[in-house]
Amino acid sequence: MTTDPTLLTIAEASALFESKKLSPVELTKACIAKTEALDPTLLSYLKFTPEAALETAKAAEAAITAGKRVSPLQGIPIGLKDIYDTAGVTTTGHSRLMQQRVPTEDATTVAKLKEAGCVITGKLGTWEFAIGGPSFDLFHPPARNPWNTECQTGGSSSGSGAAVAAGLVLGAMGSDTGGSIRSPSALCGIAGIKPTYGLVSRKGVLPLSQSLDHAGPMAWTTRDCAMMLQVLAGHDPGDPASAKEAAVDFTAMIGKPVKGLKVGVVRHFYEKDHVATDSVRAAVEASLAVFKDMGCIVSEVTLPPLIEFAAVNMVIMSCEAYSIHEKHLIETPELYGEICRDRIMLGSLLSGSDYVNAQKRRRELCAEVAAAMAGVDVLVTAASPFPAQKLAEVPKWLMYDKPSITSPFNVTGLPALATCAGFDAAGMPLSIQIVGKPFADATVLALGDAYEAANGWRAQRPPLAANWGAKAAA
Amino acid sequence: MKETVTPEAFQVLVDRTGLKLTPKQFDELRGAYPKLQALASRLKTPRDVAAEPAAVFSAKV
Repeated sequence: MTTDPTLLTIAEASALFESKKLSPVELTKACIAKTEALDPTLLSYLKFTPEAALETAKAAEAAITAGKRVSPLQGIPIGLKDIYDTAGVTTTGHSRLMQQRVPTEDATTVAKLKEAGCVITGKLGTWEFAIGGPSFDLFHPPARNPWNTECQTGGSSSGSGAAVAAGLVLGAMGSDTGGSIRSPSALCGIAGIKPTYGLVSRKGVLPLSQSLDHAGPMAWTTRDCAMMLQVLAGHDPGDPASAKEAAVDFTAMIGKPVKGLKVGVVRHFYEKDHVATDSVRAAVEASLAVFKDMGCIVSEVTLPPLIEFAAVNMVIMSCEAYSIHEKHLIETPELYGEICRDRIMLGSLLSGSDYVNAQKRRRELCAEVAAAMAGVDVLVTAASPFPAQKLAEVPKWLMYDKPSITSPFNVTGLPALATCAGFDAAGMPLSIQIVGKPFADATVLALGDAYEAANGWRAQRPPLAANWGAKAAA
Repeated sequence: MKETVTPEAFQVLVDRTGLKLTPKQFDELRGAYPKLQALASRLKTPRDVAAEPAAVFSAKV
């Protein structure tokens, strides 16, 4: 086990708290020191709150010492994408439009994390309003990928991906409308789950597109995501889309054998519909061999073409996002960055009929995917068709030109995990998606955890994050 | 090759929105519009007259 506490997983740190071999204050101080050393390069934080974090860590330490631990997450440093409302702390959406906005209430999820004793370390960068980025014309530049700081993190939960991969925090909150948890998780080499639609409350999270928005956790491992989801999930009457599903133990299946699980690989997504790099295709194929070795039964599944999902996702998102931003785009367009402004403005040109057609096609696609999944427990496909590109080379209209490989599971609302599947020749992370049936998030997490345990990739951190102490000492 | 939209036709669309675009923004959006329109056009497939959208209203708050 590592001696650098910032490189611990949530599960490891939690166990060390329990055995009194590590204290929340010790861990939080290490994360603060690491953030001060590395974040001037990584640019993951919009607002870093070390004093408040340390106060919470002290309270956690006192509770644990007194035998009054409230949850396994107590004392764990967690960062928040800056679209999660935080009482008394700015929540900006990474936009000049809301740069001075200070909510009076916490988002439901933030309140849950605080009740669980998490140490909230601050607000992390995002693509502007979770759609516009990477952008250089905002009040803070875009986060950089810890594996290569010339590269992008993926988006929109960009700061969350960078901060978790670098070990500035042990977990973070992201949001996902077309892939915004899974893309940065894939490109930063971490784990992130977009839970089933309705499982995690979105109350107090700045919306992009309410019928597609999902809130969810990002962490170094799938097991850590399960621990976070255990705290985050549950019905919230304040979120009209919140489901009333019975409580599930998301950690119960973690570490259990996955032998006999039926895995359907969706090859046409990354071999035909959006042709992935050779490195990504090889990584997905290699993952299938791992699943077979674990006793899973692998078969091929065909879904509707990616472009069908992309059409639904983009039309619904464009219309709903424009509805949210119409007033400000007409009155104060200069307060938006160019990419966010132009992408959302495009939605103004669609019709009501376009929107309803998309919602009708969405229902059809949900039925078609459910039928295709009848014979399997989970789907596996690529999480990103490519590893992280250079920041300056991210095309502005990529998601309109090439269908997203993640958005099918926003359209269908299915739980979808991105987890590391190795590295390319340049040392950049590759990733797979594991997708479950509605509210079978625990199955997805169990398979992701078993896969990580079998492949060994979790032992490899970005060199910058692993050697920061030596760098600071020098 | 995606279809293009003439400046005049695009101006009609923009005028309906109330947005005030600079010439640069106008050109940028006019260039991108066919990409989104192509996606929207895919959704105009024939379907039963009674086909329901995925978003449903609930009378119970």
